[in-house]
Amino acid sequence: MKNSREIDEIIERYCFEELSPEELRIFEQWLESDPHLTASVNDFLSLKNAFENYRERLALRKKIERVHEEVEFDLFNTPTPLKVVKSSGSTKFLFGKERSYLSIAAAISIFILSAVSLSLWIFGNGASKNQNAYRELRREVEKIKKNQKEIIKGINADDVKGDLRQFTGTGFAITKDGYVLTSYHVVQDAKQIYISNETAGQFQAEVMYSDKSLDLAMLKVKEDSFPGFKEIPFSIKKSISDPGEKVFTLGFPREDLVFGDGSISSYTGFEGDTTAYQISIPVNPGNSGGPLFDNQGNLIGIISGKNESAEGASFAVKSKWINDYINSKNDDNNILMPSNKLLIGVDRATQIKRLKDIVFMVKVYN
Amino acid sequence: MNQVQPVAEIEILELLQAGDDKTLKVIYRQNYQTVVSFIINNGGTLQEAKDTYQETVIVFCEKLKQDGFELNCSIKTFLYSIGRRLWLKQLKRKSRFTTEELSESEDYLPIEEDKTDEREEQFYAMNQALEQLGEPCRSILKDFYINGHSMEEITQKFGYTNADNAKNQKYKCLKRLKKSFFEVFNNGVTTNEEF
Repeated sequence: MKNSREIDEIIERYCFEELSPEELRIFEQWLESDPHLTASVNDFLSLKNAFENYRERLALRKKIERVHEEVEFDLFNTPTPLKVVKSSGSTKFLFGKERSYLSIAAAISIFILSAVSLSLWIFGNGASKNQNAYRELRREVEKIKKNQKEIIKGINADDVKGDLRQFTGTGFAITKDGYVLTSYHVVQDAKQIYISNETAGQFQAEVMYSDKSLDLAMLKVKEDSFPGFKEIPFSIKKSISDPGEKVFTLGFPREDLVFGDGSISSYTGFEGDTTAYQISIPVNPGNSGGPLFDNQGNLIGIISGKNESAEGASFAVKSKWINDYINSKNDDNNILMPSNKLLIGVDRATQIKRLKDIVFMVKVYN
Repeated sequence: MNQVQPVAEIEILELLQAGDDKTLKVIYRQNYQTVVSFIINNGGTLQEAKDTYQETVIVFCEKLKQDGFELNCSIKTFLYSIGRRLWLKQLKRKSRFTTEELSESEDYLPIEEDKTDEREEQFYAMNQALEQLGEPCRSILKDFYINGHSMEEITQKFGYTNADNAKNQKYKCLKRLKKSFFEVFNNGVTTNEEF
């Protein structure tokens, strides 16, 4: 006689159609003579069905959540919401009469803020890298931000908060198990962070470590069912690269991945900052946090910002500092430094093909 | 602004049935306000309204996939009707239901019970059962039955000395899951019938 574990295993294999013809014959005979067994089989079948249903629904839910976020993002980032708010008919339903004019004011100021900040936020960090051009613009953003806060307070903080501000930047995976690097100023003050790209999908992430002065942040995917990233194809270069060397980056200045290339122009970054290079890649808001590679596909930096008053002068934090930074956070060796050479000796298109799975748009809500 | 041309609706449905994400996004956006407003006007918070709307679209997508699905009204009316029904259900669950008349902004169809409801109960029961389970059981079962990992992978991932140990653990976990799943599932169905 078999014990209950063995019986359950046979039932399971029967339901998954894994029994051999011989086993199946015996099992079916057994089924006919034992009504309890039939009941157990039916139980397992409904459980199996429930598992399948659960998987499908979870996938659907994820998809809808993504759509939801994109729609909220669109509603916030395009001028349409203003129209919607003005033609108050439907919006009155939403906020009630007494609040509707405040929401118009909020929406307008938020819209202005988003327009201004979208063009400037790349310098969000700024503080230690002050320069007149930066500072003035920065102040303007601060002012609007403050006004906006006050207006929101005037409405009902509970209802409106959390949906209003979204910034985006770029980030890239450095380990298969979910560590992602980006710029500090991209995730600064973030309440919620999502990373996404076309092939991998979307994941929620949290800041594990960050360093304001280096403008670096390390994120980690925090999702139970996270399947892991694809193989990280590159290595981190530990030495300094020289001016004249050809470099390229991938980033999300818009919804899709954009490639940009140029050369290293200088050993130092903004105002002689020795932790950064100056590079001649035209970058845009959204490129922040993107990886910078040399011809062989070694990671040599992270895009951090650009000089507003000089054309074609962008900056990237040097990989040496990135490497030191990761090492300093890696006491218990949780982070396996990428050391693959899948990008060496192949053409640019192939390099990008191998990289695009692990470069992400970083979406930040704060 | 939300008016969808009836001529195009069949095409839209076909695109949705084929799983076209762009169309889904458009539909999602177009009907957002209507359903969310209905819920807020009938005692929901903004957050509840958004959650229910997401659920509404999930049900909508599931209904679309059912064999012999046929739509006899506009997508907007259909979504409104589903959202309305889900919200009423939720109100009942919370016993917040009052005799006050609902504030309606659209016509709606009575939505009949069908397979989608059973799937919903099933999902809810499975979710509850998995939640109650605790680790490592939850991850082992999820990995095996939902994510389709092999026993070898699970043995390695959870650090069991051999596959038989892992199998034994999985067996014990499944037994517990089965018990709580049927508890919730059967209960869930009876509570529903009471309404």
